[in-house]
Amino acid sequence: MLSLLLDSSNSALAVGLAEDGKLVDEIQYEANQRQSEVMVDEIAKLFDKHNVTKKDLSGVVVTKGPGSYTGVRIALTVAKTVAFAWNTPLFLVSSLEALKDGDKPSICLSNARSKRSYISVYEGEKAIMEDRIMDNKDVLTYISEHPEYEVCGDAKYLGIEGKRINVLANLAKCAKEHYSVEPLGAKPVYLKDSTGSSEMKVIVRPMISADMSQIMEIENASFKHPYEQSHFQYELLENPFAHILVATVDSLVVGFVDFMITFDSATINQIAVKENVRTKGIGTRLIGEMIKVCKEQKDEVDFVTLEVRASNLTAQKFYKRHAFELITTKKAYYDDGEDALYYVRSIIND
Amino acid sequence: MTRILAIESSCDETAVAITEDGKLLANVVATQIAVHEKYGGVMPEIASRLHAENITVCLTEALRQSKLTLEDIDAFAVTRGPGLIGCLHVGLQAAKTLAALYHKPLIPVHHLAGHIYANQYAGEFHYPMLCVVVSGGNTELVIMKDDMDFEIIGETLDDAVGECYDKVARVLGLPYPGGLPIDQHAKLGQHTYELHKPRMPHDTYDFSYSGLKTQVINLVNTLKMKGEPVRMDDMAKSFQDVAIGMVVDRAMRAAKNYGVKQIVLAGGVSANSYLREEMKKAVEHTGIELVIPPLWCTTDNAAMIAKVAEKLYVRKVFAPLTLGVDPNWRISDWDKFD
Repeated sequence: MLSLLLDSSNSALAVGLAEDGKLVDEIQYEANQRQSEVMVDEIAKLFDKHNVTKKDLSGVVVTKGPGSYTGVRIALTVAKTVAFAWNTPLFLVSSLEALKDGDKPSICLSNARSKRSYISVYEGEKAIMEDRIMDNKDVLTYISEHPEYEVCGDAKYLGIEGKRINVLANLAKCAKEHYSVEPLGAKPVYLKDSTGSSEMKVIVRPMISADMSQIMEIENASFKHPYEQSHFQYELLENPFAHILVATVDSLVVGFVDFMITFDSATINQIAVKENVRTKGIGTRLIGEMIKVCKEQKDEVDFVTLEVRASNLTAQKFYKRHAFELITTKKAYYDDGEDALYYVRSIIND
Repeated sequence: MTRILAIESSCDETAVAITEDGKLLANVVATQIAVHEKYGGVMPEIASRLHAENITVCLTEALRQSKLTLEDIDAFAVTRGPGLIGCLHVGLQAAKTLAALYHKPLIPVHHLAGHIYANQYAGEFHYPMLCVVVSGGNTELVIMKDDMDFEIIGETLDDAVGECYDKVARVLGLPYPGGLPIDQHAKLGQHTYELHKPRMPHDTYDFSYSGLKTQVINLVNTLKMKGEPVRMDDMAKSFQDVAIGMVVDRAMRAAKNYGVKQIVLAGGVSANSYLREEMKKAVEHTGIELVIPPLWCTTDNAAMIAKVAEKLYVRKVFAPLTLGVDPNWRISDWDKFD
């Protein structure tokens, strides 16, 4: 069985075929922003040469960034489409990790422009420093403090001759932990946000299908009894009363609220915020935007209701802070026998 | 039997459609408007990112709707331009990959030809025909003397009309996209603010919208400095009269001079109710038939790309796998893509 290997995250184009962790064939050259034109053509040539058909391919391994935004998207879109069409597993590898020098401690670098570098440090499988963006002067300091580390990648922009690594040979050895559980929604790693501002800009918008994997991640991490993905799928695609809003930062989902509007009342099914950004007002934004949606309805929505597990004290505190009042306790409301507290907030005067 | 899968990703909608002998089997549109309205316009990098995230989700949904598999598809079509370059790349990679894996033709489609041919979901074409292409990225008058025969006779020298609407909406504090809110306010207002048409030769078919936009911005700022309120409805009406007036004027002059049988409206701004009404009034008693696209065809979609692709499939207009995008592709060059 063969794997297809793809990288266009920097100026080069790299397409390869691997078997049992070893490169079988490869095409690599400087494509100078022509990757969009040549990548698929090179894959087709390689497939023809080796008579690769659907049944011969056991996976697609692709670099996911950081690197050139467009370049990363080209290889990833091709990889996702192959994985989708031939129903084959997708493996996502950091573009920096793909530059490491075997098991030797390696400082992996690429040019992030604006006097900055994408940098990570690996020793075998272990990331000593995870992918990040760093000012070039700090990168140079780091390199001088770690003379025993190999500098890998095209570092000429720093005045350093970095060790040239065969990215495809590294991708061929790609390990199982890079397996993408949700290949359809797979997205690149950019590190920089597109607006270039360092402050956290929270955007609340309606959920789209591509948000699903991130919502499930937050759901599973936030609740002892999480909803199944099928619940959100139903809410998103079929339930005409349901609304799901997501809060995003740098186009990553960091929270969501799933609610239903039925005539004069709204019910919150679920609200959650990613752990590392809690207590930054994202939940408050979600509640605020939800009320806005309620106010926009033709039939006026007068109140918002919800049930919360008796044991979930954090959530109860959050709701009280947002003017919800405890109305009653519903005994043994949940399947496992736990009581639900029923809260209501009037929004008539909002 | 011919089955075509078409992909559109030139701006802020990721779309996939599947047709079978002209019949629409699937029409999936993942709109990004909810994202871009927060910025008051399409942010190209963000749009490209969302296309890359959504593309295979849309493909999956289209196949589900059509109840077909990829093996059933005879050709893969894609919008090659015009549009936002980063966005175009995403759809192109997906289409090329599918064409390569299934050894099927790759059909490059011009986005505006798509908008024009979307009207074939509403009725038949009779030539010669004038196409009024008005959208967020384009403002063009195109004469068609035959099927797939396009001659640009006029175009905008600066901003597109839809772009002008969006920018004016932002100045007035109205949501993105600006077309609908301005149209709604204009219905309640009077043409009381003095806004000038651009000074251009009387016989031109070209457009200019950047001056009009600047006039509105200056006027709003002057009013604010004086502490006077901006009468939103009147401002919207005054603006819309000039913006749409320019389209109707050029279109009717061209229609008469070229002796067309039909005028078709195409592109996002063709959803504008005032443009539709004014054009209806203008063609009365002229013997010219006005074709107005169904509303779902005025926004970007892949059904319209599939419609053009069917014609190209018959003509065997196929591209090699080295096809690139062209953000400034001219409609008259629809069969040139080297």
